[in-house]
Amino acid sequence: MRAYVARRFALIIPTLLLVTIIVFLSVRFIPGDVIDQLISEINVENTMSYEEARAQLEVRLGLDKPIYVQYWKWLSRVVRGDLGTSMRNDRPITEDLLAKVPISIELGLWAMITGLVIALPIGIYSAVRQDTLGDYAGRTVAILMMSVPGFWIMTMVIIFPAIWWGWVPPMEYIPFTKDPLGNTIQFAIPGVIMGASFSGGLMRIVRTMMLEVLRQDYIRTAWAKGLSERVVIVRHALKNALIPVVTIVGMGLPGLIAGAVVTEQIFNLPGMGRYLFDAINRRDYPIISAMNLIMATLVLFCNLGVDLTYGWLDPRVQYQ
Amino acid sequence: MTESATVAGPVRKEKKRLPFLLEVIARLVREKPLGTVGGVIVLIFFVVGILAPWLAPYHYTYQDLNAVLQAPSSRFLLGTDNLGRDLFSRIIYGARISMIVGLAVPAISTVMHLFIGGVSGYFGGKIDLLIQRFVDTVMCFPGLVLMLTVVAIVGPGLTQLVLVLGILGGLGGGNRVTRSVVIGIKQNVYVEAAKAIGSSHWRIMVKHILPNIMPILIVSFTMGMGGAILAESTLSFLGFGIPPPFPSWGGMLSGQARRYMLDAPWMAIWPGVCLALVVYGMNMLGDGLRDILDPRLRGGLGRYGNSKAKKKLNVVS
Repeated sequence: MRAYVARRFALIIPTLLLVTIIVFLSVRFIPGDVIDQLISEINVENTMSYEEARAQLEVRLGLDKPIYVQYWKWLSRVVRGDLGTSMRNDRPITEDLLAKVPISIELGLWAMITGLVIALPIGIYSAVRQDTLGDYAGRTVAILMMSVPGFWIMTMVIIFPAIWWGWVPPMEYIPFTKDPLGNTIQFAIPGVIMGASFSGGLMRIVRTMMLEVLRQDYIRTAWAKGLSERVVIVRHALKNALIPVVTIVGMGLPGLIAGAVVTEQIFNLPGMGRYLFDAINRRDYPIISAMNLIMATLVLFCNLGVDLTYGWLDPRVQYQ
Repeated sequence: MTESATVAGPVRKEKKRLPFLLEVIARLVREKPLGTVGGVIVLIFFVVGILAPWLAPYHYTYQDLNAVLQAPSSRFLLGTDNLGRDLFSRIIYGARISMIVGLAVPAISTVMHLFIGGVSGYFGGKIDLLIQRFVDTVMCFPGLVLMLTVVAIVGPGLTQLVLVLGILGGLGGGNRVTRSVVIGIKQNVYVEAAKAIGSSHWRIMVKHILPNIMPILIVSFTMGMGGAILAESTLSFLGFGIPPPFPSWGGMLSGQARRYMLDAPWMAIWPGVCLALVVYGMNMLGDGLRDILDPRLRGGLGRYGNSKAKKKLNVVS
């Protein structure tokens, strides 16, 4: 087991290196006209010549030295946890980002829990009563959840309660320490909508996996022993059916936590998604690079977590 | 004699068969009512998109500044927006944009899946290892974040958006599906036979492998359509997709329009309804087609799960 974990860690390293190279190089693909615009933005007061402004920008973006020198310098800073500073206000990115992590985690957890709460019962029911009216209804709901754009539902949630009852969801960030109830309401609304979108795909996986497990011989044996439906489903089938669901949950988690760009934008929540979106709007390339790096690392480690959980849950998967 | 008889048998049978696509459609209509409904929805929006200039009462840029924020009426079927533009016409032109995105993006992605996944699976070995590490890396970046970053670098516009969404989709996870299917087909005796009589790699790939992965490609194409439209509308909603005045359904829900939605809620309803309807239709159609075409879902108890567990084992070892 320990050897496996070590090997699995070792396998991450080449991918992680490739990720850092891609993120590092992406700054060099900024088109020339954007560079010119950035230069004029730096040089608003015309205190510098074009060449001076350009040189200053190249230092900011790390374009002034040979590529491998820059990469090494950048990498060794990143490894020490220093993601650089914003191009616009010189604030350290690591510090700013850390303040946003709890907000994103709170939102992501709401979404993940809602997704599971919706998907598990409906998915299981759909599989157990395959090809009945209930199954069709469940599957239709699942596809509907996947099809309705989240940003539209969120827009409706803001507009219609306001028209009907003059009530608008909170639009200023409320810290939990200040007003726990207000904070909960504020995160529950977008979180539940995100979770509903997420539940569609999840529901389908739960159903497929349940169907597969229900056809296995040991389930027939369980029925033959005269066990009740509840015991067969919950104790015998569900446990095995849920193993692949762990994969989906683990892979979805980074997107729900750090990728909630649209949600945080609509509900004005200062999380990681919002941070990235603002950076893209202001073309703050160091922040964009840092966010991409963080996201990719998060995904890699979630995948690792999924693989480890998988082996732990399913004795058929052996660590070799 | 016996030989010619066995040859003649299947040949006669072949003649009765409809062309592949027609046969698929016939089976869809016969066996999958929900998939057919989805197909009809998609077809209707396609027709609307193609005929937009003839169906729309006004051009999508036509402004009547005396009729700003009008509620639905006989003159403006779905009302007007904050610039006095007819929403009904803009929705119809929006269908055109969504349909272009819905066709072009998965087309690019699917062709790339065919080449990258196909080469990776067919040749195996070092090439496979190299390509798959690269795919791994691309898959590390979550969809929306990567799309936003790339669009922020290349700039807005329909062509840019289609290329970015198509190429990013093509580099991502879909390769894996094509690759695993190609690996499966490669082990068939007929491929070995073709190798034995000295067929070139190209010939084997085109004549023996391509026809067999067609079903998978059709499924991944249909499944990709809805996702592409949702991605486009999300990016347009965030202001990084198709720039105004082009009427992207996602874009119609964002920007300046949001300020007026409390007074004119009809502005917020219709683009979303159309998006949901089209994507719903595409997903239903894709589901139906997958049930018909995907060999992994045909017969055999629990085969799908076992192969998945095996794949996991391969990854582990």
